[in-house]
Amino acid sequence: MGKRKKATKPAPKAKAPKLDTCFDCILCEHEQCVDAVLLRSQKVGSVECRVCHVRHEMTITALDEPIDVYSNWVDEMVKVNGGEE
Amino acid sequence: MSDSGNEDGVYNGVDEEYEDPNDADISAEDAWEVINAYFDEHGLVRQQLQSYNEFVSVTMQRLVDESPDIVLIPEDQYVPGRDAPDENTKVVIKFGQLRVSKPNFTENNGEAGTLYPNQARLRNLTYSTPLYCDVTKTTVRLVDPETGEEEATSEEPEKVFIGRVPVMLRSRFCLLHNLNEFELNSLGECHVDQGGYFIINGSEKVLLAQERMSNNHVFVFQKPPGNKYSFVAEMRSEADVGNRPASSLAVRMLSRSASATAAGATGGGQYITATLPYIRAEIPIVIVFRALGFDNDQEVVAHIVYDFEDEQMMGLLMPSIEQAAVIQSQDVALDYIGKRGNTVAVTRAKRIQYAKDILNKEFLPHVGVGESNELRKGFFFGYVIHRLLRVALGRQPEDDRDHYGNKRVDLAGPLLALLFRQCFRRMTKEAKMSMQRAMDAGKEVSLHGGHIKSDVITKGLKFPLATGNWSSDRKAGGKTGVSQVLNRITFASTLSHLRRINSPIGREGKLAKPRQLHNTHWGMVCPAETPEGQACGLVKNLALMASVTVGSPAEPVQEFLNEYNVENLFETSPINIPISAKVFLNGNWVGIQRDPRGFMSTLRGLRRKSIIDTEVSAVMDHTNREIRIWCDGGRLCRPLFLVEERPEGSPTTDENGVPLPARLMVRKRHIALLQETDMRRKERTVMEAPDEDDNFKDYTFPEMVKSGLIEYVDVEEEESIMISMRLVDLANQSASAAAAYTHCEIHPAMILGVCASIIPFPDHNQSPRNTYQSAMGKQAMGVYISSFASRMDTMAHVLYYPQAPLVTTRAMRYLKFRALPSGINAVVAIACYSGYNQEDSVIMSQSGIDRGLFRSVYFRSFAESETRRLGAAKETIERPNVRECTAVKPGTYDKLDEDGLVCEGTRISGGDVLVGKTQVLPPPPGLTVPEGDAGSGAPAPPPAAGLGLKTRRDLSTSAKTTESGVVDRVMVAANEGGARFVKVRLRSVRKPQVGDKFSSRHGQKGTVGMTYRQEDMPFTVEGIIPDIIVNPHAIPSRMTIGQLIECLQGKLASICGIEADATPFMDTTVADIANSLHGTGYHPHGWEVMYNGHTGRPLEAQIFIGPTYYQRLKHMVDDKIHSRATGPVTMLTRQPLEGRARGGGLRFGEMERDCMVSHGAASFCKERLMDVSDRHRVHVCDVCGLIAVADLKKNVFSCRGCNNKTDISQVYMPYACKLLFQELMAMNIAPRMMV
Repeated sequence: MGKRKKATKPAPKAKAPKLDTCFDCILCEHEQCVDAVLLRSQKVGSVECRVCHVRHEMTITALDEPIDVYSNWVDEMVKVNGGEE
Repeated sequence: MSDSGNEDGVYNGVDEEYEDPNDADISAEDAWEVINAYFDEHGLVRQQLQSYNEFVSVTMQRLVDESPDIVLIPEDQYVPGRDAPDENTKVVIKFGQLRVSKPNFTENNGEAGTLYPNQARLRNLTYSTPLYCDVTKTTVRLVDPETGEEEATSEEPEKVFIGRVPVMLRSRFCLLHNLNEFELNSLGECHVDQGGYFIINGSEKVLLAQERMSNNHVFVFQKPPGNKYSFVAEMRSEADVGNRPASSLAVRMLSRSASATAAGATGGGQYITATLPYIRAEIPIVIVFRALGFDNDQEVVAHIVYDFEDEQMMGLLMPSIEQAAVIQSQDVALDYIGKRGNTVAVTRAKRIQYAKDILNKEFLPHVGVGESNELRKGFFFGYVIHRLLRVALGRQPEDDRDHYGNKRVDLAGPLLALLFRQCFRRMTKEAKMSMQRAMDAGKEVSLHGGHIKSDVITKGLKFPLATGNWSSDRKAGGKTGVSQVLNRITFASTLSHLRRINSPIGREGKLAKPRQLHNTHWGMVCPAETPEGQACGLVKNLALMASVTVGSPAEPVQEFLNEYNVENLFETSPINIPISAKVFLNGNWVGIQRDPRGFMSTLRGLRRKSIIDTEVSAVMDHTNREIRIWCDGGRLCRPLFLVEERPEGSPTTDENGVPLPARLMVRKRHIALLQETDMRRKERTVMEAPDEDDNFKDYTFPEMVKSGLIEYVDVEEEESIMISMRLVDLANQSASAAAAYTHCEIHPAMILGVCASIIPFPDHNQSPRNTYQSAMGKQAMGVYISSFASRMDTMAHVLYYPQAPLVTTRAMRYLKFRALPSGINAVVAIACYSGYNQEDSVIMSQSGIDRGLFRSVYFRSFAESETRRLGAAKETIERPNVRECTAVKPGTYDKLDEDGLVCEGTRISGGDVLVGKTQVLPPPPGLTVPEGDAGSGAPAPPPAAGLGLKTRRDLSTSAKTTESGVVDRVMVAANEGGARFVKVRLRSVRKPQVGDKFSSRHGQKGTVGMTYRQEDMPFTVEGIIPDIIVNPHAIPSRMTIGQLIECLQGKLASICGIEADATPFMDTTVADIANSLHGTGYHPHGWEVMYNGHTGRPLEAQIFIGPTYYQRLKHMVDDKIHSRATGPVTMLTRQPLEGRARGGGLRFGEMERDCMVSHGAASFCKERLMDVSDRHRVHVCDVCGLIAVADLKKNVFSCRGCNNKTDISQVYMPYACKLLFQELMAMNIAPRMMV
C-alpha cells in the first residue's frame, strides 16, 4: 500500500562545500571573475581576471590547488602595496 | 514457591562445624533477597527520576553559570540637545544561583496555591514549578583609561522569576516525593504508581530515552571496494565543559585507485587525509601534524607508529609522508589549512591565525580548547591514525556500530538540558536587546522592568513536551515523537512505556543490522520486548535491572590518575608507548601506564570502596593495550555480584587437585541484615513510628554496592570480566586461571524487561511468542491504576474481577502485578468441541460470563470549555434553544440539565448531547439592530430574535453515535485561562460476547467463537467445566510449551492452594510438577476424561485441562461492528465516506474488483462501483458530445455552443467521472461523449 507522503519534507542535507576555482578580483573588485589554470605537467599555475586581465603566475607543487595560486597573488599584491596593516 | 527447603547449604552443610554460619555462601534463594532490596530502593523508573533530578539540581545551574554575562555599554543616540552618554560606564548583568519553588498555579483571579498532580490532570493544567534566578546588576566605571583600572559597584542580587519548569512526578521536586501510601491516596494518587512522567496541559507525557552513538569514541570502518576510500576513522569530539556542540573529525585512507589520481601522487601506496571542521578540503595528515608544530618526519612517525621496528605500518604510512614533503614548516602548513577555510582573499597572517584558531578551538575539543594543547592533540591525532592503520593491516577488526558499549542513551535530563540551553540563550539575548534599548533611551536598566521574559523558558520547555517536537523553536525541526502520551491501558504497559528506548533511525531503512539483537544487549535490553513491523528492533525496552548513568565529574578520576603514576603525555616520549598501556579518560588520551594490572586493581578497589563514583567504568583492553575509563552519562549498566579475589599466588586447588570453589563477597550475614531491614521497615509502616532501639542502621542495596559486594558494570566493562551464570557454577569452576570468574549474575531472569517478565516459563516458548505476548500484555485489561475512579482519562478499561495469577514469576512482585493484575485464572481445556473454536477462536462458558467472568467497564471522558478563540464570539455552556441555533447536532438535547450539562446517572445512547454549548452568531448583513428599551432596563433582545432567524451557533458535544452508556461523573472547574471547564465521563459495562478478543500469556490470542451455557459444556468426573476451550491446533506449530507447563502447574497450585513459581532459568522441571500432581490423585500430565455436555457420553480423547491465566484484550466487537445501507458521502466525489466513526461505506477495493472481473460478473462490478456509490445523471449534446445545460424543472435542455435544443441524450456515469471531465475541460481538453 502506498503511504501518504508527509506534508513537510525534511530539508535536504547541506552538502560539504567545495573549494572555489573562481574568485573575486582584488584589483577591479568584480566578483567571480578570476579563473585559475593549473598546468601540473609544467608546474605552473596562473590566475587571470576576465575583466581587467590582470595575470599572475607561480610555480606550483603537486599539493597546490587554485586557491593556493590565488592566495599567492593576494600575498604578492599586499607586498607590492607595502603590506597592509 | 515456598522458600523453606531451599535453605540447604547452611544447615545441611557437611562442613557445618568448621564454618561460621554467618560467613556461609548465599543460596539461590538469598539472591532474591538482594533483588528485593534492589527494587525496594530503586523501583522501576529510577533512570527517569535520577536523570531529571540531576537536570534540575545540577545541569540547569551549570548551563546558567557557563552562559556569558550581559554587558551593556551605552551608545550615543545622536539626539540633538542630549549629551553623549558616558562610554566609560557599563552595566553587567550576571545570572547566579537558581532556585525552584514548589509546584504551584496562579488562578485567573490572582489567587496562588500549590498545585497537586491530580488537580493538574483533571483541570488540564501543567504541573510545573516557578524558577527564580539571583540576578546581580553591576555598574563598572573605567576610572583610569591609561591603566584600565575599573571600579565596580554591585547591587544586591535580586530574585527574578525566569520561567516555569515542568516537574517530573515523584522526582525530588514533586509534591509527592517521599509521601506514604495514605497521603498519596488522599491526594487522589495511586500508591503503586511510580511517577517518572510529566503533566502538560492535563495529559501525562513520557520522555522516551533516545539512543545515539557515543561521543569521543574513535570508530574505524572498512569501506566496500569501489569506494573512494578504503578505510575511515571517525569520531565526534565533545568537550565536557564549554557548552558547545560536538565537532567531528574523519581520517580516511584513500583506495588505491583514488590515490593514483590524488594531488601529489608519486605512484604506489595509499594516502591518508583528514577532514577538519570548517575546512573545505581534505588535508593530508602530515600537514596537520606540521601545523601542530611537528617539524620533522621522524617525530610524526613516532606519534603514529610508536614502534620504528614495525615496518608494515611504516610502509603504509610512507606515501603520506612523501606527499607532504613540500610543506616543511608550521607556518606553511597553517597557511595551507587556512587557505582552505572560509578565509578567502585575506592576508597570510590572517589565514595562519584562522588555522590556529581552528586547531585550538574546533579540532578535537575534548582534548582541550585553549592554546598549548598542540602536543596532546598531536598524540591523539596520531592515535586515530594508528587505529586506522591497525585496521588497514588487518591486526584489528573494524569497529561494530551496533555494539551497545558504543551507544549512549539520552533520558529526560539531557533532553531537557538541550532545550534549556536554547531557551536560556534566547532569553538572555532578548533581555540584552531590551535592556540596551532602555539604556539608549536614557532609562534606568531595571531587573524587573520586563526585560527578562519568563515566557521564553516557560513555553520553550512546555511546547516540546506537549508535542514531542524536540526543539524550543516552534518552527525549527528537531526530533519528533520524543514526548509521548503515557500509555494507561494496563499498569504493565505504563511501566514498560517509562522504560522504553527509541533509536532515531528512519523506519523505512532496509538495513537489518541495527534492528537485530546484539550480544551486548544481554542484561541491558530486553531480548523479547520490541514492537513488530516498522519499528522492530529500533524501539527497545530496558531490562529490569539495567540503569542509565547520569554522569559524574571526571576530576576525582583525573586526580587518581595523577597520583597513580600515569605518565602525562607531556612528560613521556612515544618510545615508551609500546611498552605500556594507553590510558583514556572519557575518550581523551591522558597518559600511559607501565603497570596496567596494578593500576586497574587499584582503580577497581577505589570504586568498590566508593571513593571513586560507583558508576564509573574502567575497562582493561589487553589486546590493544588500552585502559579506558568512562564517567559520562547515558551508559547502560547493571549490578553484578562480585567474586572474592584470591590473593596472588594462593592455591587454586586443594591438596587432592580438586579446584577450590570461588566465593562471592556477599555472605549470609549480609542477607540476614537485608531481611532484618525489610522486617523493620514493614513494622514501621504498620506502627507509623520509628522503632526505639537503634543502633540498627537500615542495610540497603546501595550499602552493598558501597561496601564492594556488588558492582555496577557497563556494557564496555562487561566484556573485560568473567561472569558466572549461576551461583553453583562458582563452586564448579575449573582450576585454570583463564577461566577464573570475577563476577556472578544476580539472576539471569533479570535480562528480561517489564512485559516479558509477566510471561511464565518464557524459557520454554519459541522466542517470537514471547515478543507477541510482550506486545499483547500492553492491551490487556486490568486495573490500570488504583486511582482510576478519581481520574478522567479519555478512554479507560477496567476489569471487574481481576485476579492475581496462580502461576507467577518472581519479577511480578516488582511490577506490582498482584496489586494491579490484568487477567483472570480461567479453567482452560485444550479440545475440539462442536467446531466453534477453529482458527484461533475459543469457546467460552456463558454461565461463567453471567457470573462475571471477564466482565469489564469502559470509561470514556469528554472535555469542553468556554474558551474563546481569538477574534471569535464568546462561547457559553448552557442548554441550547434548538430553534434559534444553527448546526444543531442530530442527538437529543433533552438529557441536558438547566446548566447545560447531563446529570450523573443519565442513560446515554448513541449521539445524545452531553454538554450544551453555543456561541452568538454575528447578525446577518443589512439587519438593523433594535435598540433595547432604555427605560425599563430590560436587556436588548438578541439582534435577530423574533424574525425566525438563527442567532446562535450550536457547539455542543455529543456522545459518539456508536457508543452508549451511563453518565458516571460530571466535573466542573476552571481551566488555565479561568474559563468554565467541564469534563463528562461515560461508563458502559462490557460483557464478553462472540467476537471479543482474549489471549493467554504466551502470544496465543483468539476471539470468542461461541458461548455455551454450562450444561452444554464438557465436564469432568468432578463436574468441572472449562471457562475457555481452545483448539489443540493452536499449539504444535507455535511451540508455546510454556502455556502447557503453566496450565499443569496452575492445576497443581490450585489443588495445593499455593502460588506457583514460573520464573525462567530456575530448576523447576515438568517431571517435578507431574509427580506432585500425580501425588494429589490426578493424572500427571493434567489429562482428564471429559463428558460431552449435550449427550453425556465420554469424549473420545482425554482432555488437557487446568487453570491458565487469560487476559481480556481491549479489542471488542462492539467497538468494531459496522454496516451501512445509504449514508453520508464526501463532498467532492459524492462517494461514500470512509471509516466507522463517520458512518462510512465498506470499500469495494482493487482486489475485490479483480475477483469480480475474473468471475465475469460485469453487472455486479458496475453495480458496486457506480450504482451503489456515486451514480450521476448527465445530459450530453449529441452534436458536440459535451455536457449540455439541463433545466429539469422546466424540462428544457440546451447546448449553447451548438445551439442545439433537441438532440440531447441522458447518460449515467459515476460522479467522479463527471468531475474528471469537467476538470479536463477546465484545462482545455474536450472529452466528447459520442452517444
